[in-house]
Amino acid sequence: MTTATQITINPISRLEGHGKVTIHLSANGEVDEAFFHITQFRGYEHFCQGRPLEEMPIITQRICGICPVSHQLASAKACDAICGAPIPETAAMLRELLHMGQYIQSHALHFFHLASPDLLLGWDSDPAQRNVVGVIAAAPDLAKRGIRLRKFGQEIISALGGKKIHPVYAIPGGVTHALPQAARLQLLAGFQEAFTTAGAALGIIKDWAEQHMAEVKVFANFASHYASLVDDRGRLQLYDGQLRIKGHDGAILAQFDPADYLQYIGEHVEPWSYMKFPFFKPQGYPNGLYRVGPLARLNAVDAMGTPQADAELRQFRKIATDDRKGASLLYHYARMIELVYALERSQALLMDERIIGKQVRATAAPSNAQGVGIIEAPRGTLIHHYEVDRHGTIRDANLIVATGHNNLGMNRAVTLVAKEYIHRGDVREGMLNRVEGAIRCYDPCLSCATHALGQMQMAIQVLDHRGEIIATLERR
Amino acid sequence: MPASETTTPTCWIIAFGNPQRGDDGVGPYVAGRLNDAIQQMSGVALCTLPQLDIALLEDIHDADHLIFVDASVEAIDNGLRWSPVTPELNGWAMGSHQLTPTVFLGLLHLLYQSQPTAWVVSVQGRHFDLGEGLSAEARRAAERAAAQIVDWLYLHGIALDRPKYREKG
Repeated sequence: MTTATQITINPISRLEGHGKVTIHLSANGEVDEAFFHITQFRGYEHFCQGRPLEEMPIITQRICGICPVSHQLASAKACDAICGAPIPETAAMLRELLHMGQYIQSHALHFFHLASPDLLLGWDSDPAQRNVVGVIAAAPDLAKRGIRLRKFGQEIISALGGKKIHPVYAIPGGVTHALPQAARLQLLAGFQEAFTTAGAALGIIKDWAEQHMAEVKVFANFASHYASLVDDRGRLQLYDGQLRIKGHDGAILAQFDPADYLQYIGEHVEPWSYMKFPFFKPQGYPNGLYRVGPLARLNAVDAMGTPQADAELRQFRKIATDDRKGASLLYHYARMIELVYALERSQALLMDERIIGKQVRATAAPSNAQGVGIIEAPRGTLIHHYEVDRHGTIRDANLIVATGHNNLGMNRAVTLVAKEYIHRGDVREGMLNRVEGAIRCYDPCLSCATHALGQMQMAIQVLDHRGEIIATLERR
Repeated sequence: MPASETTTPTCWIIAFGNPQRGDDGVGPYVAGRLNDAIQQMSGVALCTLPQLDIALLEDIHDADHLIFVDASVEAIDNGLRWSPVTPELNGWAMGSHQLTPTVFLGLLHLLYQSQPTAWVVSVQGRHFDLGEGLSAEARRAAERAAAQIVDWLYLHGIALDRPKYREKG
């Protein structure tokens, strides 16, 4: 245990990318406030200027090696909007299938290898063991199944786009090629094990939630608005639909077409972070705090739209009652329900004969000066908005990624956890891991959030009331 | 991808790096240069990735030999170095999706009790700024790396005939 008023942890572990948290203590060592900073330069929007429209899905997916498919799809949808021609039905199905592959691999990796150490081994377990190595030692078969599930998601992506990472598939007007029947049948053979593994993961997080109800209630639990794409019946949509903003009390505050997002979403800038702070414009900054991602989606929708996921949502809502529905730890639970949903949707898409249709691309010249594409990426709502000249060259690009939408929420979560678990300068490792864990619930991708140019670092600092750093903890 | 669909690869060449960061693209460059030669061999698989991925363990856990190809930011005599790799997990905590060959082997051993012989072929990079294409020094070293890998496969009996490979000038 260290009694201190400033701490640095470098890097904060099991996050995608790196950032910095500062926790400011009062003279008596209590937490005054905490900030989650992103200290890297934001650049991709600028790079896009001057590029031909048709290059955008390939360029923007390079923002990230973890969720390239999400950027590619949001980009392709923005390009579709500029071209103004609807894409063929089969192409829309294939894009959604690609998207589900992304969900499966991303959610599996986060749960089994980034989040499960906290859940399976406990916050206060030995830091040397509280990682995926500890999980492997404790449950080797589960760890292997988690790897195979991630691989299954990657195989869906690869079967469509030729590569597991950075596939070349979604293009303006549709996709590059049809799905061969042999590849379809090969993918269908993999679902039995995938469902079994997802069910095991869901069982783990359900048991954990039931056993830790008290902690769920006090750990970074706060009211906010929640955002998700929904279909015309209010069911979850991950690839298309209208964006719904729902209040903590369940009231629908707004539901709008992607093209209208600027009427409802503003972006605030703080001098201490390169990541912007999106907010619900009608309520201003910072009162218009909303969250995105798995928990937000489950709170925002009326139903999931697939049988197993709907059954799980009903169980989930018995735990995510009004006094717990804002609990950050429930992101892990919601993420596993979405994993089941992604498996159900991808299986349904593959069983539909239309998935092997041959008409997969419409062609049209740019007919609109701007276009907006919104999808639900694994980490939350992703917006691509482009303006083009009459030749289809990008004049301006605005990208709002999931981690950006959650910026206000993550800052609130960090502050709440720090206030709950750090007292009188007591900054034991287990407590600091809780601060990290609060951020980890949101599975932030900081390279996406800043469109950063280089490898990022993360640190936690605790400063005393004079603003001086008083302790450093490091993990590698 | 495996060179032969009917033969389980005994050797995997895993080349990784980001071709959009200058010389960090050495791994993919070497993979591209090896592709034709590998097609002539059975039992050898070639894989190109932006970074090592835990899901790859499932594919390679039966391999006898692994060759990692990566760019190095450190200075290396003659710009090219072969280093043996042993599994090591002590003190490591999975911070993100990034894995080193050492940790990758450690996880392979822990999960699958597999311990193939493993080498890292490091090619010194000079420029890691945004932009595609290798520096002249890195490209020359990458050409030598590709030729040496082909020779290694032949000398270790993995390639039965010395595959055709010609360095670019």
